[in-house]
Parts: sequence; C-alpha cells; structure tokens
Amino acid sequence: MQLMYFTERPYRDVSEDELIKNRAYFALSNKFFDREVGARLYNEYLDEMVYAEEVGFDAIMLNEHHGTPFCMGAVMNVEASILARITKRARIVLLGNPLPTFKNPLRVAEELATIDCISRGRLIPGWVRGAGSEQIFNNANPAYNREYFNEAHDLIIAAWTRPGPFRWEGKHFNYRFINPWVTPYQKPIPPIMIPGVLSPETVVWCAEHKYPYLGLGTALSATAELWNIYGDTAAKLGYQAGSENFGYLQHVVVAETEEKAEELGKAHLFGGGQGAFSRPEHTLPPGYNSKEATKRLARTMTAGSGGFLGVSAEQLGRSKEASPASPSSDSATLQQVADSTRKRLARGEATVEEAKAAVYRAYPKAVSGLQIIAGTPKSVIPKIRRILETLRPGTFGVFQSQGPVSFEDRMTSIRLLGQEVLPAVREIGKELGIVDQFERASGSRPLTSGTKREELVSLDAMRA
Amino acid sequence: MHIMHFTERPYKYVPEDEVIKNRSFFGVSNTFYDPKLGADLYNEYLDEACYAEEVGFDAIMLNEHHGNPFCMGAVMNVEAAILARITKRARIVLLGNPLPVLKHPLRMAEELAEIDLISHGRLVPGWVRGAGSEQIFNNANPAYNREYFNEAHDFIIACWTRQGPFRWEGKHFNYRFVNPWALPYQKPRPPIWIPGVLSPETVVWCAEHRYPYIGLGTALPATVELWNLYGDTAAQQGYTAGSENFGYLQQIFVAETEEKAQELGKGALFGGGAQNFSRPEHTLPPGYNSKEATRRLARQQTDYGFLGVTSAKLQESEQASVQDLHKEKGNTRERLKRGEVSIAEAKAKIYGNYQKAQDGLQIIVGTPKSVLPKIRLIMETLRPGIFGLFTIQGPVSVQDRLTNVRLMGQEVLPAMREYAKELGIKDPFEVEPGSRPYTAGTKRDSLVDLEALKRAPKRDDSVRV
Repeated sequence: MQLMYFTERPYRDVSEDELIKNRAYFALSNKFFDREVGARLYNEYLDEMVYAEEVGFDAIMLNEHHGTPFCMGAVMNVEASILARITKRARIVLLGNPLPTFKNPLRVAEELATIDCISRGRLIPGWVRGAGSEQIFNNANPAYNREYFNEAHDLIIAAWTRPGPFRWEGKHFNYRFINPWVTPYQKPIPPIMIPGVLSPETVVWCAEHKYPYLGLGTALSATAELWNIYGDTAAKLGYQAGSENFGYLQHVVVAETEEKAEELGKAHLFGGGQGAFSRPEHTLPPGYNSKEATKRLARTMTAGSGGFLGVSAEQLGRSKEASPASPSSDSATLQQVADSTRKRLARGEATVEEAKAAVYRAYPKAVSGLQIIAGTPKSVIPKIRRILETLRPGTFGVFQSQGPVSFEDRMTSIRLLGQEVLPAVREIGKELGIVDQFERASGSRPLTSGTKREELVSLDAMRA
Repeated sequence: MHIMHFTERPYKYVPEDEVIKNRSFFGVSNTFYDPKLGADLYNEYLDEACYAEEVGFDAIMLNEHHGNPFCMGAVMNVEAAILARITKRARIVLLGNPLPVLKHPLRMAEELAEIDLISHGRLVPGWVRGAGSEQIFNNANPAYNREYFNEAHDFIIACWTRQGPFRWEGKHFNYRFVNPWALPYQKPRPPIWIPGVLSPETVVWCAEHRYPYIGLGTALPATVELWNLYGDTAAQQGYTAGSENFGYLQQIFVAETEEKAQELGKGALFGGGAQNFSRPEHTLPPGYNSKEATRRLARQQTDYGFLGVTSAKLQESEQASVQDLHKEKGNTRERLKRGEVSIAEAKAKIYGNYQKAQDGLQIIVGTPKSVLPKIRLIMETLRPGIFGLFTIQGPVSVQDRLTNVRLMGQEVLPAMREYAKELGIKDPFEVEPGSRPYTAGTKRDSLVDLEALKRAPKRDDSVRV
C-alpha cells in the first residue's frame, strides 16, 4: 500500500465571515491576503511534508487551485520543486496539473522533467481537467476542456518519450521543434495517477491508459460503481484491474483525545468547507461537463454533505431553478430555494451567524457519512478499515484538516498517524491483499476474454 | 555593491563533437541527455549556489534557456523555488523569465509570488525577450516579441499591485477575472532588474521604468554608449541615473595557480562557447529584432559575441542568403558544414582563440591576485552597482568549481567591496534606482569613466570559432 499525506495548504487565517458572505472560497478578493501569513504558511506546510516523510508516509500529495484561499498551491510545481530537493525518500504525487488551463504544455513537460531529475525519480505526475473555477481564472474555454486535456497529455508524453527534435501540429497546440534538453529521470515515463470526482469519461480514459484512478473523497457507492466501469473497460482491453489501479483520498484528522479531534474535525467545515469551494456558476461553467457526467453528479452527490468542490444535488437543483430557461413552476423546489440559507444570505434575509450555524450543523452527518474521519488513532482505524474493505485502494491518501487549526495540532495529527495509524493501515492492507502500483504494475495482469474479472469492491463491507 | 554568483548550469557531459557537428548547442538532439547525469548536475549546481551564499555572495542569479545543453535551466523557476527554501540570506535574481514565450503570464505572476513568499522577500524577478531560439522552441511569433513582452510585463505588475478581481483585455492576453490569491511578499512589488545584450529599445524601456539594466558580458565601448543612452533617458524622465541603475555580468574563473586556472578556463570555449549558443538562423528569426537593434548588433558586437550573434556571422547570414558561397571559403563553420574540415580542425580553431578571448576581457581567468586588476578596470569603466560573476562552462569538476567559489569568497569579493567603496559605487539596495531627482538644464552625473575605457584592451574582432 502506498500511503500519502495530503493537505490543500489552506490560507487558514482568512476571515470566515468573508467566505460566508462571498458564499464561496473562490472569488474572494485577494485584498484579504496578508504576506506575513502567506510566507509563514507556505513554509509550515513544507515543514509538515518533511515531517510526514519522517514519520513514515510513502508519498506527499499536492494539488493545485487558483485564486482561492482554500488551497495556496496555485502553482504546485513550485512546492513540488522544493520537495524534490528537501525530501529524500517520499514520492511527490501531483494530483494534478490542470492541463486544460495551460497554454504552453511543453513548458510543463520541461518543468516536471526537471523536478523528476532533481528528486532522482520520485515524481508521480497526475493530470486534472481543473475545477470549473480554474477555467474561469485562467480564461480557458470550458467547451474545449477535454480536448485540451487529451491533446496536452499526448503532447507531454510525446515530449518525454520521442527523441527530439520532432514536430507537433495538433488542433490546439503547435510546435515546430520539440526537443526539450532535459527529459524525466524515470523511464520510459514517470508513473502517472489521475484523481477524479466521478466523471465517467475520466474513469474510462484512465482504464484505457492503465493509469490508476484516485477518488477524491467521493461517496462510497458512487465510487464503487465507477470502479466497476474501470474494471469492465480494463477487461475489454484485455487486462485485469486490481487494487493497483485505484486510490482514495480521505479526510482524516487524529488527536490525543476525542474532544480535541472533534474540534479539528469541525475545522473541515470552516467557511462552508468543500461545499463552499466555489459557487455552482463557477464550478460548472457551460460546456465543462458532459451531459452524462452532470446527470451522474446530480444523482450521486449526497444531499447535505456539501458534495465536492461546491457541487451538490441541492445546488445543481437550485442552479436549474435560477436559470431563466426554466421558469420556476415547481412550488416544492421553489420552497427549497427559498429555504436555502445560502440564497437567503445572498438576499440579505439570513445573517452570517445563521449561515455559519447552518454550516456546522452538518458536522454529525458528515461524520456518520464518513466524509470526515476525526478521532483518536484507536477510533479512526476501524473507519479507515471499512473504506479499505469496500474500495480496496492500492493508494490511500490522508487529507489533513482545513480551517483554523494550529500548526502544533496539525503536527500532532501527523505524528499520531505515523506512530499508530499507518502501521495499522499497512497491516490491514496486507490482510486484505491490497497492493499498490509499485508492488504490481497497473495493467500488468492479462485477462483472457470470456473469463470473469476479479471483484474490485466489496459492497457487503459498504453496507456494514 | 551587490555581487552575484551565476552559472548557466551547463550539461557539461554533452559530447563536444556533437555540439561542433551541429554547429551550435541549441538543436543538439535530446537523445544525448542522460537523466542520471542530469540529476547529479542539478543537485551539484544547487549545492554550489548554497556554497556561494555561504562564502559571501549577495545573490544567486539564474537564467533560462530552452532545448539547450548550454543551460539546464529550462524552467528556472524550479531552481528558484528550491533556492527560496534552502538558502537563507541571498537574493534570488532571475535574469530573466522570457515573457514572450510564456503564453500565460498570470501563471507566472502566481509562480513568482509564491517564490517571493517562500523566500520571505528575497526574489528579484527580471524579464527577457528570450533569445531567438526560445521563440522557435516555444513556437512564439518573433514579430510580436516586443508586444508580448510589454503586455505580459504590464499585466504581471497589475496582478501584483491591483486589487482583485479585475479584468484584463489586452491585445495578446485576456483574462476576465484576475484575482490571484497569493501576492508577493515585497511591497509594492519585488525589485525588477533587466538583463540585456545591447538592444537600445530595452535600455530606453528600462530607463523609463527605472529598472536597473545588466549588461551580459557586452563589449565595454558599446556598453558605455548604451549606458549613456539610459542616463539621457533618465534625465528626460526627471531623475538622475547612477551606479544603482546598472549591472554587469562577467565570465570569470579562478583557481589556486595560474596553470590550473588556464587549464580549466578553457571550459569557456567548450563546444565553441557562448558564440555557439545557437546558429544565426535560430538566434535572429525574422521579426525578432528591430532594424535599429540589428544594425547596432552588426556594428558593435565583437566577434566573441553573445548567444551566437557576431558581426561576422550576421554578415555570413546575409551572404548565405544571396548564395555567395565563395566568400564562405575561409569560414570554418561553413567549411565544417560542407565537410571540408574535420571536427578536430574546428576544435583547434575554437581553442586557438583562448588567449585572445582573455586579452579582450571576454573571459577573465587566473588566481584571485591576477584577476582583481581586470575586475577593477571594468568597475572603473562601467561603475556597475550589481556585478555578476559568471562561472565556467565546460567539463570542469565539481571540486574545481567549488574551489573557484571559495576563492571568490575569500579573496575576490572583499577586494571588490573595497573598490566599490573607494569608487563610490552604490547598488540598488543602497540607493533606490530613480530616487534622485534631476533638474532640467543641469549636467547629469557621469555614468562611466572614459579614461578607464581608454586603458581597457580592445577586443579582437578576428576571434572566431
């Protein structure tokens, strides 16, 4: 099993009231950014990652978001560069570089090759389409999102593997002389991992490329469904998918006592948590998602959980209501809209205090639904076990607390994870026969057509 | 006096014969890159930068070139990010990020802001137009080079100083919602320096923006001329330019003995040296330079040149364009291309110029004692507030490179600081560039010492690879 440490590197000193007033993290004016806080936090996060390596994590995962205090990794390759030099053993996992928002993918190929060389082959590059807000921030046409993604991906792989110079004339990218001097340390290419929030097209694409797919805290049932799509696609392509093809990211925060852990756990909901990542109109700009993906999102996002990156069933419903194309006739839905704290807040009918109270009321539900795991090492291990039994992910990422948690409490969580949780998780992984992509290469097991593929998930465990 | 350590971070294991066969560093196939050696080199150069800080350099300067074993800093911000965390005191000077090839300047604004924050305000971002080969590598239209440069620059400054969100609708860049969360540590923005190889438009632009201009090993008489242009422009803008507005980068290498220094110093000519950076057709793609800049280059670049452009080669290109191959008869490069000379002969030609390159101060090689008078002469002539020491290229061992850094710290830097004091040279942190008002009608400060220039050796225009 590959165990990863992950934090969004939030700007934790942001005013919660301002977030609530803005009804999202994205688009909060940068006038609230304080350089002293920013400089301290960037360095503390690097300290955390070095410590995570020290206590036994196999990998440090980074991600990238633009124009948001939710995640300070606007160009995560800056942090990845530093980790390449200041860590010694841990893999550096980038989940992921938002390909469709880059206008010069050759530069990214150079950047990552340099980082892979400096780290002496510890880089795991990953690609994402970028949340909707990244398209807005970077002025990238959402309608071409998947085309940009596919072409930039193919171009970067070519830049790494085809001897230069060669020419590339694509639909979106053109280069007459591709010959980056520095190519990656890992041959033929660094291992690639793809994170996702349940877009079926991405899952199929991953299976076709034999890239492990990592679910970003997605609901277990929907995740199980998509992993079966991966497995079926793999079977069609003639290989057996297994735990090496999957990863899962889970909010986990650990403290010495249950009381302290609950305090840290609640910080996940600071400012509205992930549900307030960006407003729906920023998260899903027109053309960004396929129809099928939008339907699936609406169906599978659990109500009240806040969803991921600001998309939930309720919010999608609301967006539809707000659209002038569908004048509101359904009074029940209208009532729902009227009741929405967020909407009322926008109209000035609810106070910031009321909105905050509504945010934190969701905590017990988030805990019971496993969106948040907070506790002592002893109490979190059975919950992690349940996820491992259900999804059998070869890579398991631990997503550190958001919100105004002290540096000391964050470091304590890392220490306790290293001392007590990681060894237990490794034991559970062994017991369940879970292997990661380095123990068994993704796509390395042929599957004879006509035979039944292995079970990838355990629905019994999920129902438990 | 602000003294910088600089190396191109060359991939010193590239086979010299391949560079010579290719008639330049740019364009050598990346099949000659070995990632294991590359990994060692990147880390050795980072070690060297840390050591430079330790021995007393004020800054580490980085640069960026693409697709070229001459310089492994294809995305120098990777190294800058690392230095932000692993150095403690030194400034990190980027000379510079090639704005016209980026395509996405907002990302650059975010990247540099992060680096400035992580370093707690030690970043000096600088901008370049990028050599011609960078335009080719990045598929950036050379005809729009200066427009891209100007707009990307204005936009990045706006990102750093205008409260977000705001909208930017330019000719080349469009953003509907500019609101980068992380902003630079230094307020109102980090200090900006601009390097150059004698483009007068750049010099005037720097003077208008009060940005210090760093001459990259340019010939002294031409440098003097352009610094006067800067000074005149500054006066028109109502301020007095001085040493705080100028910097100079000099190729230099020291060792314990003259013999050792002479042996290792040849590394500067490895593969043809800077003159073989790229072939003229790559260095000056159509539209890249203004007519005025091209004329000035042709007139003033000594044969050693920078980045592969020399007056003789410009002539060559012109001649080649009219198919006048007879005149190419005596040109080693052209004869090599035609198979009339061997690689060994071409190499002999390159290294045959070693002494001349030293005589013309293109390279300064020696013991601390023997290099100091030459450095002093440059300081007297140009009075640069910023002085970059460009360490050796070519196949020189890590130990010898570190010895060079150590000797610089022990003997050369203290002496340079004494000279600066004696000559009244101030750097941009001692005197804010553009902070001294100029009264119209008065005579502006003299920026250079023409008497010292008279004592400076002439560069030999016949020095050829």
